[in-house]
Amino acid sequence: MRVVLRLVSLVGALLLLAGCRPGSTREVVVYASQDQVYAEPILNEFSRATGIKVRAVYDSEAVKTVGLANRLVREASNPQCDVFWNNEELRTRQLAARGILRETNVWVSMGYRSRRIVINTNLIQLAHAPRSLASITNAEWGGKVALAYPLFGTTATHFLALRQHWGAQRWEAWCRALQANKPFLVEGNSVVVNFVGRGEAWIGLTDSDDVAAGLRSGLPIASLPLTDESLLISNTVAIIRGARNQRSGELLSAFLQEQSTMERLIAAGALEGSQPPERGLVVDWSQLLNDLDSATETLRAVFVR
Amino acid sequence: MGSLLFNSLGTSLLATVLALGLGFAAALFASALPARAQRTILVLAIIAMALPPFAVANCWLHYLGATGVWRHWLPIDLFSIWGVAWILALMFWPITFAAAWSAWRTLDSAHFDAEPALCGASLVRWLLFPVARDVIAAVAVLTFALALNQFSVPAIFQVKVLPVEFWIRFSTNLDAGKALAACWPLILIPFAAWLLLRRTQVSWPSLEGHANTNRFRHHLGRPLFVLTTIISVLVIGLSVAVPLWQLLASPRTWRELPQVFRAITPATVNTFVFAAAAASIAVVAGLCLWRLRLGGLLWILFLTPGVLLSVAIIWLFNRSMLEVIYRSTAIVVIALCLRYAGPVWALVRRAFITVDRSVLEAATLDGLRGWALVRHVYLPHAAPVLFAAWYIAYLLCLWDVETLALLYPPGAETLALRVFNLLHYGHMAQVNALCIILLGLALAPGLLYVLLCHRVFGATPCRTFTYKRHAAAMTPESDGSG
Repeated sequence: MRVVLRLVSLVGALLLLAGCRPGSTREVVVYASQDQVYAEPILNEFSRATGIKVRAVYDSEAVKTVGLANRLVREASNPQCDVFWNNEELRTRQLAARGILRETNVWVSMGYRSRRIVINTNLIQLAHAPRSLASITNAEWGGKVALAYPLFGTTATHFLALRQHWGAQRWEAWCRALQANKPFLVEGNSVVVNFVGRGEAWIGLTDSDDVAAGLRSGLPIASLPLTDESLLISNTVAIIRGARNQRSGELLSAFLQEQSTMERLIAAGALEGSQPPERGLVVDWSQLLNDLDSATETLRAVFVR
Repeated sequence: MGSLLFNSLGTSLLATVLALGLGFAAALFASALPARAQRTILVLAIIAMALPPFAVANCWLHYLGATGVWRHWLPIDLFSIWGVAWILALMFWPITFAAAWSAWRTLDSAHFDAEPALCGASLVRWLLFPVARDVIAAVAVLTFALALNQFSVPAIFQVKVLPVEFWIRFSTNLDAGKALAACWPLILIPFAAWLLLRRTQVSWPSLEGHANTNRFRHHLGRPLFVLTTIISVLVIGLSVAVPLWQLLASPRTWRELPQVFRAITPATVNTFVFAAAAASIAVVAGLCLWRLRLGGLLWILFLTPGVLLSVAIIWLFNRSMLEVIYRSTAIVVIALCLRYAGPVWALVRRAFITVDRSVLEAATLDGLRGWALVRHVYLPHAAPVLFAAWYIAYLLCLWDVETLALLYPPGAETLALRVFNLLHYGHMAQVNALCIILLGLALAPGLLYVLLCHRVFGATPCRTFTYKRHAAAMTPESDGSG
């Protein structure tokens, strides 16, 4: 008993030293799945312009960029976050369906990036590159395609959207043909770009901002143009239900939706544009969420087992 | 799940066996060297363990991947269970090295002189392995668990492992319960292994101090010394020199380093403070709980995936009464301490339970109690293993991302979290610069240890030797009654 009391006292003292600090009166807590390199300068600018201190937490590819979504679910009974800035739409819709987001003006989308086919320009000429997702299952691309596990992140969302577009049967046949072509299944979209840039793979399925990052690094890559099978991925901003700093959150949300903010994100390569083009998949998100479990089960059966 | 479990067990078991073998050989080699050379090997082992997994994996992809620069004359296929096991062994051998090396520091010359014929393989079989057996069993479970939970390295080399099932459920449905259900083998199998491997600890009588290295090398014998030299040089070259060269060779990395260091100073301070505090609290907790067998249940916290542990911590602390802790950086220290308390407890328990009983009796008869007993009897014996336990926990805390990603409050970002954020953008020069800073943090306590080693740990207080000689006087042979 004495041992336990000593232990508890010691731990308590150390915890007090570790930094319990009082809160600030004008502040906003934002959970940003938008990449830190892009988000941080914008949040700093908001802070300078309004005098509101921004306390930000960022997501990580180490937890498949769903760390913040999970965190919001766990904290729902006692929310710590005011604003959730996401760089894709599916998780935001899942959170809205669970009642994590504020009841009024639930969330808004802003800007877009897209899913792309990326090629190694030293190994494939643009004229000979596959022009559709169906053609990457051809034998000539066997062992030369890289993609992130289609059960995580935007790759999963893209696959689910394709299922809706093609129909379940055709989609499953395509998935099986893709798997039979022995693709490289890697941990994330940035790894896809590295694999293609290094020449381990000739073709990759990835996000446009990852391609932009690869080009900045000097990799010999190029992305193919948008098609009707490309998925457009919006940024979203939402106020959390029960947020402690509602007013500050609304100001931040409005700031993020401004055209100047969008232009900065576009210039940095985080977004491709502010208004989605006519091309790209048209997604029924409600139906996609309903089909999530069954589609995921098919993907597990094809790509994991 | 069958094939995934098979792959996971296959890579983990192979990686564990390889890491144990390489670490054991390196510990034999280091123990036979003069003190300064031992400290150099220790520093290199720390570097091997502190290198980030993605840097090691990318390095070997660069050399031995499908388009690797060495592929023409070394056609080794890394895209296999053996390839993954080899990479993981190169990352985890320092754990066994640290454990075995610190266990053998408790031996004294009498152990070697007791049987002059005990040399070479016999020495290992009848003395060195029994001394280190318990602590090696603990680090075997630790290594196995670390390898079993690895996802990123197997994913790069196209080996599908069980953790993918966990991540699917965690990321698809945001359902921690289903994710926990998917990963039960990752928790139960290592825990069962620990229950099977733990034994009754044997206390090794020790009358002097740790044995002279010349005597160690003499008893080890030339053939075994040469063999362990070759193995150690190879493993250090492959696990340290090759990846480190990749990290340090780019001039752009060095140009970015000062700017990165200035920009990232708060995260650097956070990283060091969190890791040092968590490791220290874990060791203190081990010191308070080493007598309790139930402390073994702390292993479950280590074996549970970090994100699930943080989900549990959020459930526990995200309440009005405890919010002041949850919103502070204390929550990070708590999470790290809980995560690594199990292995630290096992090593601390092993260190204390193997104290020479005769010395303990002599000291107790002389009236020593409490802190005095700990300072003059327990600590001199247990100090090397305690330090190894602290250091292993410290290094694991430095690179922890999964436990912290769901928990860290604003302003409590660590270097590891920043590295994983930057990896996404191809800012490799900045990522490499951050890795160099992390290596510096990893080495700092070790360098401090080797500088202070002789003063604090090497020179045992005279009073302890009095107890050792007193204990020797009490043995039947010395008083003529036997």
